Order: sequence, then structure tokens, then C-alpha cells
Amino acid sequence: MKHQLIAILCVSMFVPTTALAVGGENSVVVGGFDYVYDEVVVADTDKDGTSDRTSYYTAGKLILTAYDENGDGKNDRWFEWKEDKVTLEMSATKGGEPDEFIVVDGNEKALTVETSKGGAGTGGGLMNWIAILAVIGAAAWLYNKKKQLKGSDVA
Amino acid sequence: MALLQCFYMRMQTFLTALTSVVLVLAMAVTVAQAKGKLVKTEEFTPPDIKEQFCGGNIDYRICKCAFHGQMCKDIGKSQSQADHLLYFKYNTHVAGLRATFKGGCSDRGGLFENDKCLYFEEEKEELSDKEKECLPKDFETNWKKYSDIDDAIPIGERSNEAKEFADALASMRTNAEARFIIARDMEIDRLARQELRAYKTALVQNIKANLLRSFWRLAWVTYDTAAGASLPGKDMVQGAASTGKTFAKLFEEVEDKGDLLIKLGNLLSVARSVTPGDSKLAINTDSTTGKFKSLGLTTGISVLENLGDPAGAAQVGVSVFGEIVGIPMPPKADITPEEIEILRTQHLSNKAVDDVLQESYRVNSERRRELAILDEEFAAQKARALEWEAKERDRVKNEIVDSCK
Repeated sequence: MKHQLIAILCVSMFVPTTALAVGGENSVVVGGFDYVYDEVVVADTDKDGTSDRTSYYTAGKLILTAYDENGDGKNDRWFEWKEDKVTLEMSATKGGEPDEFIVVDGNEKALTVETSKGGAGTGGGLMNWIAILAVIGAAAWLYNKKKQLKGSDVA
Repeated sequence: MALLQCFYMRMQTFLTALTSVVLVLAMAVTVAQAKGKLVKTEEFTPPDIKEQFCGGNIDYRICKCAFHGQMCKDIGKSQSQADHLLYFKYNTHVAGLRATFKGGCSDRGGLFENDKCLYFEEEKEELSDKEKECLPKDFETNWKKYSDIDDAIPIGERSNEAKEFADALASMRTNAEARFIIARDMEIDRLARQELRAYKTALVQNIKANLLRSFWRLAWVTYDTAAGASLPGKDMVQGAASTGKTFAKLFEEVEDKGDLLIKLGNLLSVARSVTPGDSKLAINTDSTTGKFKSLGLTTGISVLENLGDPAGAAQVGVSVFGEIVGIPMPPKADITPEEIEILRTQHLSNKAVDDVLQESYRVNSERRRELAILDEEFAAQKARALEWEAKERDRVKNEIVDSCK
């Protein structure tokens, strides 16, 4: 019983890392979309001494550009790329996650799209918290059971 | 205390709702009064996501996964990811259909509001007997000739209504000019990006002829800024300098090795010197916007609207770039394989091309936002111009009738 409890507690130590991660390893989630990258290039485009542009690449191809336009250390505009063309522009007009989406077609005509009403913002965040609670619940139940067994042994 | 709080919140909600209803009604009345009698309404109906969108416009497996949690492994997504993607694609599709509906509504003379196309019929003014007797026969169609809306009348001698109208028209003119230049430059930029992608491909595939041709065209886009102050009377089309500034990085960031920079500089000098006097690239900046400045007070508001139309301005951008493409390369423009390798290092390995592409899209995104603000301002300025035009017409009509014996 004791070993089972320790094993469950050890496993539960790793579960929170999956809830807190923003996407998987080498990936970033923006506007509910997951971008997997293998190279990041940071630039200071306005030469003020702080980086304001982060470019993400996969196999040498540009997939996402993120800008911090107001200099608050958080990105507020993103451009998604396919074959050196922007296909989606996202902006965080109120700070935080993007709330404005502009789809750009093959002729570079822009179309403003209402923010998606379906689905979770980040991949699997809720499920991870459920998993943490389930593990903690199981550990607590086992602990209680052990306590009861110990109590009955003494009796 | 809790009861008071609850009551206060409910009152707040009620007042907010009431204010919204009053505002909407007021707007509806204003629109109806401005436009005339509502004769027809067409409603935009988005397609049903399950019946009409799934399968036909998106992989049906995404829908199966999103709605039922089935086939998720087939598409490599979780149910929540599929749900997010499905609604994003659906909302994009609906936005496109809405934009087409709105465009068609506008083409047919309707007013698009809250997913409805409203058609109004101008209500014909009923003239009194005295008005019929006193007003000139051509007053209905030619009233401006009896008014102060006339460039020949000094500003100080015009009626207040005519002054306000002239002021509103001047604002519209400035706005149309700004929108024209932005739309034209966005198109030039788009075509330059196309050329830059061709250049990148030529670099990757090491095709010297294509590489030089694209580089030569990009030099033209850039020369006005990168080459310094232009010759008087031969400056590049006003506003396109911002495009040149973005693409100048291709030339500025090349490491100074041997003769390469000199050769690039020569390309730019040659570009500037061979510009013929009647080239669209060499026109005086005043003449680009001259056609706006020359518009008189009696120009119809719709004419101004058409001149500032972004679609028309984009065509100017196409013709400017078309001229660039048609210019033959100077006979001695050539670079060595070693110099090509320098360009590959600087522009590919060091990601200078990606740098320029990203900057170009970012600048264009700002232009797009600027254009959206200008569009809104133009609508407000147009409403103001129409209002004062109508007031001047009423003033003139009353003056004629009052002075009629």
C-alpha cells in the first residue's frame, strides 16, 4: 500500500508540467493554433535595444512571426506563414490572447473573421487539470484507506 | 445589503439594454429619413454548419471528431482542437459569403446593415403651388447654379451652408487622396513581394538569369530611397518610398565584399538615370494627386468616391509595376559566381529575404488598418457633405420662393 501511494504521488509530480506547458516541446499555441518549430530567430526591428520580433521556423521555412508592438514584453500581433506568404494575421487588441483574426487568401486579399466560438483556447489544458485532480483524489483515497487499515490493526 | 446589490445590478442591466434599444431606434429613424422609403429587404443567411458546411467545405472527419469525438485519430487532432479548427474554418467561410453578399448589395444600390440588405426609394418632394410657380423649371436638376456652391464665388461671400459643404468636400478630397496612395502602394508592395519570392527561388536553385532579373526589378522598387535624393521632377511616385525603404534592406545589408556593393549601387544609379520623362515612375508627385486637387465644388460626391476607390488605385499600382517589369536590364549588369554565393549567404542563410518579407507584410498590415480608419472617416465626411448640400439646396429654394412676388 505504502509503495503504491508513493508511486502515485511520484507520477502526479509530472502531471502539472503538462497542464502548465503552452503546447508541447518546441511548439507555441497562438489563438488556439499549435505551431511546431525547430528554430527561433529574435530581432530588434526598431533598434531600440529590445527584441520586438520573434520568427519561428520548421525545416528552414518560416511558419510564424510574433511582434511585440507596444513594447510591454508580450506579443500582440502574429502572422502565420505558408510558402513565404502570410495566410493568417492575429491581433490581441486588448492584450493577452488574439481576439482579431484576419484570413489572407492566395491573392493577399484580407478577410476579417469573428473569433472562433468553439473549442478550447489551448490544447488539452482542462483535461490536464482533471488528470491532476484525479491523481490527487486517488492518492487521498489510498491514504485514507491505509489509515483505516492501520486503525483496525491497532484495534 | 445583498438585496440592494442585486437590485442595483438588475437596474444597471435594464438601463444598458434600454439605452441600446433607444440608440438602435434612433439610428433606424435617421437612416430611414436619410435614405427615403424602405421598399425591399434581403436577408443574409449563413449556411448551417452541419447540413451545408461539413463535408462540402471541410474534411467531414473534422466534423465527426468535433461533434461526436469520432475519427479524431485519423486526423491527428483532439476533439477540442477539431472543434476549434471547424468553427474557425466555418466563421471564415461565413465571413467570405457575407462580404460577397455585402458587395452585391452595394452594387444593386442597397444599404447593408446587420446582415440585411435594405433598399430605399427616394421620396419625391411634394412642391407647394407657390413653389411650383416660383422655382425655375430646371431647379430640380440644376439647383447648384442658383446656389453659392460655385468656385467663382469668393469664400467670404458664400452662404454658411455653402462654406460648410466646401469644407466637407475638401476633407473628402484629402481622404480620397490618402486612400488612393495607400491602396496603390499596397498593390506595388504585393507585386514586389512576388518578385522577392521569385528572387529567393532563383537563389535557392542558383539560376543566375532569374536571380539578376528579379534583383534588377527590386532595384527599381527600391531606388528612390536607397539611391538617396532623386532628381527634381523625376522623383518616384509619391508614397511608394515606404515600399522602397522596406526593400532597401536587401541592398543595405549585403556585406561589403569586393565590387559587389559598387555593382549594386550601379544598378540603382542606372535605374534612376534611364527613367524616361513620361514614365509613371518619373511623374511629378503633384500630378499623382493633382487630379484630386483639381476637382471643383460642383463635382459630384460620387465622382470623388470613384476616384478614391481602392480597387481603381490598385490598378495604378499594377501598371506602375508592369512598367518596372518591362524595363530591360542594362547590358553590362552581371555578377560573378562568387558574388552570387555572397548573396546566397546574406539573403538566404542570414535570412535577409525573410526579414524583408516579414517587414513588408507588417507595413502592409498597418496600411490596411489605416485604410479601414480612412474608410470610416470618409463615410462620416460624405454624410456631412450630403447634409450641408441638402441645407444649401433648401436655403436657395426658400430664398427664391420668398423673393417671388
